[in-house]
Amino acid sequence: MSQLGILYQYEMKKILKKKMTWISFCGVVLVMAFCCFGVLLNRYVLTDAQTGESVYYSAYERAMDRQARGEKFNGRLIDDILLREMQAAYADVQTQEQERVTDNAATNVSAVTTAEVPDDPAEAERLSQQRRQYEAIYNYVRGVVGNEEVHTVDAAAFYRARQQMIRDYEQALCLTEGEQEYWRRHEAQTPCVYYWDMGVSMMLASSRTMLALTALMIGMVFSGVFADEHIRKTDQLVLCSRHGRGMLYLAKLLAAMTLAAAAALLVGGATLLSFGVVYGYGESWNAPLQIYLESSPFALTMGQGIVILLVLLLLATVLHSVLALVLSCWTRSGVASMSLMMVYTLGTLFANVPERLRLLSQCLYLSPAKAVCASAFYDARLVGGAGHYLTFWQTGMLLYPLLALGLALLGGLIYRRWQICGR
Amino acid sequence: MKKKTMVQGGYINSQHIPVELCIDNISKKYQNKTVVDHVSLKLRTGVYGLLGANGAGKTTLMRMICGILRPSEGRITLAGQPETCEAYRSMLGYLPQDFGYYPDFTGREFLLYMAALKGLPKLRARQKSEELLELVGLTGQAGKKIKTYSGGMKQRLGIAQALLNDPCLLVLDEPTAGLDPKERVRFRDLIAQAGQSSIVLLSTHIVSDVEHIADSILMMKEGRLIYQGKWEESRGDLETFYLEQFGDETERRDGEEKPPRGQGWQRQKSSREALTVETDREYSPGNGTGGEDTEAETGGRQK
Repeated sequence: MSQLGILYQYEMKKILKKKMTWISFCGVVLVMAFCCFGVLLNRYVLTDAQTGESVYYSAYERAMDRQARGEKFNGRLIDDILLREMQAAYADVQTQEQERVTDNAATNVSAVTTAEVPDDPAEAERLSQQRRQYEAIYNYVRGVVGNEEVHTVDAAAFYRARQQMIRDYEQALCLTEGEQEYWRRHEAQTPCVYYWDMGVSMMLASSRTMLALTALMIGMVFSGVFADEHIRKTDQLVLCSRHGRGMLYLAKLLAAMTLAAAAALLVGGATLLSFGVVYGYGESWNAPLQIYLESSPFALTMGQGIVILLVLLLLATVLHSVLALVLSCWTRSGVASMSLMMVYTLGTLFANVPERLRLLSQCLYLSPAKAVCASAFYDARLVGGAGHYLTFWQTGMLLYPLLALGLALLGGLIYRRWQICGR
Repeated sequence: MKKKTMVQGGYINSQHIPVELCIDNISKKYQNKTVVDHVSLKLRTGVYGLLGANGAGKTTLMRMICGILRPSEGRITLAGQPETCEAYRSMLGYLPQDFGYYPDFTGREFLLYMAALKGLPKLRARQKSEELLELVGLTGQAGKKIKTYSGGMKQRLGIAQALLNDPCLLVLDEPTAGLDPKERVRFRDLIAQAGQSSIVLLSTHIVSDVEHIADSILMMKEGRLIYQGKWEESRGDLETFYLEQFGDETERRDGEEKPPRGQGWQRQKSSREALTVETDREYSPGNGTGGEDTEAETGGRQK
């Protein structure tokens, strides 16, 4: 084995022998497990209006019940036939406009749907069952066209409404003509096919949590890689050794990147497996992304969306590991570099820049905290010009390795200049 | 002892090509403070004792020689190689004053790791580590974690790592600090052995250590070399000279009143001599490193 291989093994050993590594990894796994299974701990109560009897059932039973009803529509086109069936099932439901006062004291008008309750309990139950059969389609269509239109909309109007949502987003995102032209050529096909999407949509929705948790874990584990050498005063031994200034840096970098990639794969894989076990993926893997993100312009399936986000998560985690190492090398303090990693992670998670400040806003939304997120598939802003464009995820897949390389080179320069003084 | 050191892709056999450490007018300044002030030296094979009070610049000078602290001016070369290059570092062994270690590594793992850092092939690293563990008397504890070692054991491990690559230049910053008398004598012998084929630069506060093993004396005060060369008996006692030079500084640091010249110093000197005598007596020939009078041991190194 080469010297680099031997040093790499020792650096892996150093990181894996730290308690912080295992504590933070177990913490991330626990939080992700809670995200997957915690929601199933809820209980629901169903009270019969006539008899007043209450029936308790678990969130899991409720989810499985909804899934069983939703999956009946798997593979069906959202067309006039399906919409008419749904509208027939909901024929007894009326829409009323009701005034509502929101928290900020502004008065809004929102629509609420109410169902007429027949006197005959058997008839009421039949109508309720009928509605519940089409609940999944009803909720999906209502999400696009609104509470009123859902009862009358036909397929053409439904797709027009969805198209209009996409156009509104394009306006809000200040897209150039070239970008708009790109999306005309690459937009999702209609009519789209319906699939029950609980498992895949939960997986897509949890990508941001995975990114945030892995970034914090990386911050905690790798902030000490160089700082500990300084604190333990082993830096003076390693820096005066033959490979201490060059190969050792590479070995540390490779060890951190490997462990970061492994952590991302483990967290991503475990989450994917957990949602698969609870909800199953089945055919929903092939569902168009628009089933979950109605106005997304991306012509992708949910499965492709998950793979893209997992690859971005992997690359972002590797990038974060290099960043943590560079900060550790620069500050020579585990606490300082961990704090900087937290500021970076939380800052990019919660920061917001108005879309009209196009460049700044787009840069922020290309950061891992914004890009490794299901809602990033609403972001139609492109990188490039003259007819050659990259979407946010294509840019991320090129940008993150390049940034990691740039940071690694910067860290190498800082490390080569490392001096032992002030002790 | 056949000794090879890699230099710029080839090997220098140190038995045939004498290696020279050239320190050319180096200084180290921090803002307005000059810690090392225009020091120039040429060192060849042998043991060099570096003496000086706290803050005299010994550690700074040693760090610059080891390439872990950049001089503000001047240059350092070993066998013609500058201190910034890999070839220089491959000829170097260093034991810092405050020896750092990885607490969760075993003694053996630590030596193997350091051997990998020093570029030793895997098989050679294993052989050399076992040899050195035996040499420093840690074979029995080699499988234990370093955090369970006593101060003396850690220091012995430190000297072992410094010797892993058969260095042409061995820099030891207060290597006997914290050692019990028996271990100090053992250390002296190791250093004396190393000095037969390498340049050994040894910094210490303990004048008797230097008196016993150093071929030449380097004395620093306020960043400058105030004495350089062999200590001749005609100049009087080394410790007396040392205390005359640094007595005031030592006293100021300790916050004690200065004793009448001669009286206080004499007391200190006497206690040190007593220690030296005691350690020499304790030293057993059975440990395989020789056991005669210390002067006799070092006699072989006298040029």
